[in-house]
Amino acid sequence: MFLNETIESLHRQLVSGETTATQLVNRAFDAIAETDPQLRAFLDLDPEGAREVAKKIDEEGIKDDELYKGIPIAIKDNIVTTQMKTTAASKMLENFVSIYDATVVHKLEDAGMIIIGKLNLDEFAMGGTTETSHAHTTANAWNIQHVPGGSSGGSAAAVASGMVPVALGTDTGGSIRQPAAYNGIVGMKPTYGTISRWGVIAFASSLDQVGPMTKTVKDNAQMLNILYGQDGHDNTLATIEAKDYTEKIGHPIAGMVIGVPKETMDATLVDKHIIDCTKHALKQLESQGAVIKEISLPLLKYGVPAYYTIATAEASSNLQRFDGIRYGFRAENAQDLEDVYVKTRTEGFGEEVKIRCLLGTYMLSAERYEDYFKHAARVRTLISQDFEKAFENVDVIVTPTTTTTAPKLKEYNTVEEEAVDRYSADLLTVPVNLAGIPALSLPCGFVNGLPVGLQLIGRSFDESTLYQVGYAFEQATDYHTQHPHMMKGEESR
Amino acid sequence: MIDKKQVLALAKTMKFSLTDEEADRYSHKLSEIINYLELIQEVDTTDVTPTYYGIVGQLASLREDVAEQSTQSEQLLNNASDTEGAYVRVPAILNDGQGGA
Amino acid sequence: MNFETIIGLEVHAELNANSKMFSPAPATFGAEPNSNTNVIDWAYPGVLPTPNRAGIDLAIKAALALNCKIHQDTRFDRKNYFYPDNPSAYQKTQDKYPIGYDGWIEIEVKGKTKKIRIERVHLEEDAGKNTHGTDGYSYVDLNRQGSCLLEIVSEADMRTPDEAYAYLENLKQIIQFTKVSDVKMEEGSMRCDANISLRPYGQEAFGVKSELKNLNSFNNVRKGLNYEQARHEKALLAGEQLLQETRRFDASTGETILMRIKETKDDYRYFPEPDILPVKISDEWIEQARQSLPEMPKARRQRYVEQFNIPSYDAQVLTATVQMSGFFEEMVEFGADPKQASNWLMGEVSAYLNKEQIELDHTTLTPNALAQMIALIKDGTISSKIAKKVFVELTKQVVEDVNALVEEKGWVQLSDPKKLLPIIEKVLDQNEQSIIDYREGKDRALGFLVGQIMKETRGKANPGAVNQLLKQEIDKR
Repeated sequence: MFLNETIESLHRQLVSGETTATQLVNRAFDAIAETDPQLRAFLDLDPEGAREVAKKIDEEGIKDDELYKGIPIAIKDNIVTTQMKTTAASKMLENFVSIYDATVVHKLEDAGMIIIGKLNLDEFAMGGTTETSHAHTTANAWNIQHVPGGSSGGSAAAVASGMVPVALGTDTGGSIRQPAAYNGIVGMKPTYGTISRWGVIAFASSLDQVGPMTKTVKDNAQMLNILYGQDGHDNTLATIEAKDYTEKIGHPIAGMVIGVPKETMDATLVDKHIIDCTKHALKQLESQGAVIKEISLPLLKYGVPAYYTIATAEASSNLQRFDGIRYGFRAENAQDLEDVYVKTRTEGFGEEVKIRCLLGTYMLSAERYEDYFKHAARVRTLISQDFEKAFENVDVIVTPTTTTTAPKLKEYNTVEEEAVDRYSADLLTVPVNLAGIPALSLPCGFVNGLPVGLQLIGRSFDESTLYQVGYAFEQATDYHTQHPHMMKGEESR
Repeated sequence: MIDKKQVLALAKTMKFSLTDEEADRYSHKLSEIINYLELIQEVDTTDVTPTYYGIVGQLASLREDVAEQSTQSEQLLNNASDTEGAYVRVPAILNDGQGGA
Repeated sequence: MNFETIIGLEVHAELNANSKMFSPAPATFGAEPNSNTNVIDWAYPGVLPTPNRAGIDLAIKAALALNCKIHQDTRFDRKNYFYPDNPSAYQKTQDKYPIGYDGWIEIEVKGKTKKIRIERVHLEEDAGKNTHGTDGYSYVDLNRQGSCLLEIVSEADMRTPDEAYAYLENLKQIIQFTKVSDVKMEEGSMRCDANISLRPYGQEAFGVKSELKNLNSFNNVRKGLNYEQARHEKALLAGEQLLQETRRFDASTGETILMRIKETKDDYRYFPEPDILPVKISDEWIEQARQSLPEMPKARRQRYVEQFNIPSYDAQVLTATVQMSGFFEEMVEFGADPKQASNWLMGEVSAYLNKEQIELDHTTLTPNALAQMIALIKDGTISSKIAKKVFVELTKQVVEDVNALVEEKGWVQLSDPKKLLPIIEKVLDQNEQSIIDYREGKDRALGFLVGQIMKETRGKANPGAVNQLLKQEIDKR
């Protein structure tokens, strides 16, 4: 298990010869064998491939400046790989093996990291619980009766439970930050255009972004260091000068102005225990000299409806390619071409995906385009402007990451939830995606044994400041050093 | 509001077939969601430029016109569910003028 | 005719780029099916488009040649529809901000010129190719999928099938001169769909239109439109209600066949393509494209008339294709007399191309060789009769030095009096009666004598020189 490890601690052990890449890989698979039967975070594993890479690395040796070399990692299963299946947790791709690797896969491999497995998600990243996964549902690392969040639920649970030291997720409307919050780990949704989307199965192209999910803030910044940058494939990538995202880590935050949108501290929208945790965290930051300032994001409540209008519209188009003809699942007994399409797509997609595609195609229809899709795109502009205005006066915006802690899994839940309630739970995360700006979630407390996340939102391409503040908070608190109880052999409370 | 007939029309566009029960349920669900999404109608967006891209103010980077020979045609064909020689095979396309742009 | 016919055309032209519009796969044709395809062309999960600079550049050139304005903030959109030759189920095209808009070209029908407006010129990716088998299957080849395709949409400004034909000819000629596309309908690098409707004269609203597909030659466009025009008129006169139809032209019967009735407007759910950021076309880029455009046919015609003193009809023939026009200008550059060059191109060369059904740039003829040949005629080295034999040689292989060829073949004319005089003397000695006849004023006798001398020299004697020497010698006797 990797509960008390960081990239640096593992690197030191590797360089000193205390451990080897092979041992780390074995350690990961041992942890998975022990823990994953309960959490079910993984969809596919590559023990042979991983051990082969580890062996090669051990033969080569690991130099002092090869920080990442030999360290195991697992990635969300909507990132395509040639060595393992890529299913996006959909029946549509249940046996699909890509013939090309995503840019982030190349980047991890170039840095010498060892990709050991693929992690569960909501089908095509559409959901916030992993319950829409065609394969199975993942459990929260802190309480297996609760959801791990989503859509990067597998990634969050795997890191929180120490099965892998780090993982990659993707975030379209909070899919990294919300599960990170629910599982008490650190998750970054970088500025749109930071990390290549080549090889990331598109959900909503103008919102999707890959990001690291780690135990610590520094690990997270170090991961971003090897993930960003141009690749010649993604037209929407920004040109970022060579950069060290850890540059401000350890710098004091005294004098820094932290904005707190009053709309996010509204107890009618956010669980009051979570508001308490957030207030407590703000006090902590204040004690380090940060200036806390109340601000307003008046359009916050329009974020979710604007987001679902835009995201489903793009998704309805992106998911049309799954038709059973060129790859992936194909329904049997199709009589004619129309049948191939309809049977394949009817059998291959789950209900949430279908609902969202129907919704998206409704938004794009000629008679609704202006009033729905285009209007939402205008609201998106206004939401971005809200943030821009706020950043004229503050350095960082702080909010809770989620409105509640991880809810119970459906099977343990007595109340049937309405779709709208689930969508509106994304209140605090989706505006960030609409504005394209970066946000970091890190642990800031517990409510009834379940972790609570603090969200730090920054200016475009200013992830470094988020890491600076996140690190200052992390070093002054002990939330990140606490581990799920199940890992101590206890039953969930 | 979105009725069952509309849901079935959308499903036709998206190439899903829905059972009667699903069409009912989806129309209820979608009506509820659309009703919620209509909240944004109260925002005044007069003279606001829409944002369609994840990154604003940046322009497309263009690729130079250099052809790269594909080396993967065999692998591509291997992944297809039905092929004949070097072709992808599908049940006969009715030439109804619908395809092609 | 009680009705006014309204015609608009949508023309697609494959652009001459090395790679595809949004993927680096080769844009060459005739390859093994699916061999020029990659994961982007197959719309694999996770792929992203990379827009080709050349595609945009070629589209700008075409738009400028068609007198269009340029959207300097041009954008791409998605057009959504399922079809096996459209792997992502959306075509990357341009909806709201096409590269070119508000253009026009001029056509001439029955001596009258008319401006046909062009609504838009936009860039998109081509679809793959489906082959329909007889075995209940269709076969998909994605080699063409993603190639750079230009769509040129005219306004509904044409009033007769002849005008549509003239529009296509002119459009093809202009595009061909810009060299952005081969625009060959028979090879599929140019395709045309036509919209036609009829309305009573004086009525402003358009009638119900039909859309014609499968028009694979300019002639078929005209035939199909003529058929539709008659069909509409008959229906309207009979008081029938026309439906908006998509119809296919059947070249074997000359008729159009119903494919489907469009009950509602197709909803392609267009929206801005989030994977391709807006493309900025700078003033410099436009200026560069403009500079690179060759002189257009109309300007060339005028110049040929003024500069080379060539009849207007000839100038028109010479500028019919960019190859012919380029060939002509190169011949002149190599020193050929423009009038002679024009005569040869319009005569022998055109006849040869017609007979062989071949394009000028696919022959062994070179402007240099033809210019040399004309020079040899002018200086008397060869006769025009021999020149025809030389021309045949030039069509067999590329000839660098025509003079060497003529000498090698022994086709140089005999003009030297020292060589010609003994032969003339011999012929005169053998044909004394002809001398008498000539003196009595029978001109034919002289012709006979010349013929005899040509025979003796196996046609190599220079007829001018022979004539002159012959008269001299007869006078001496």
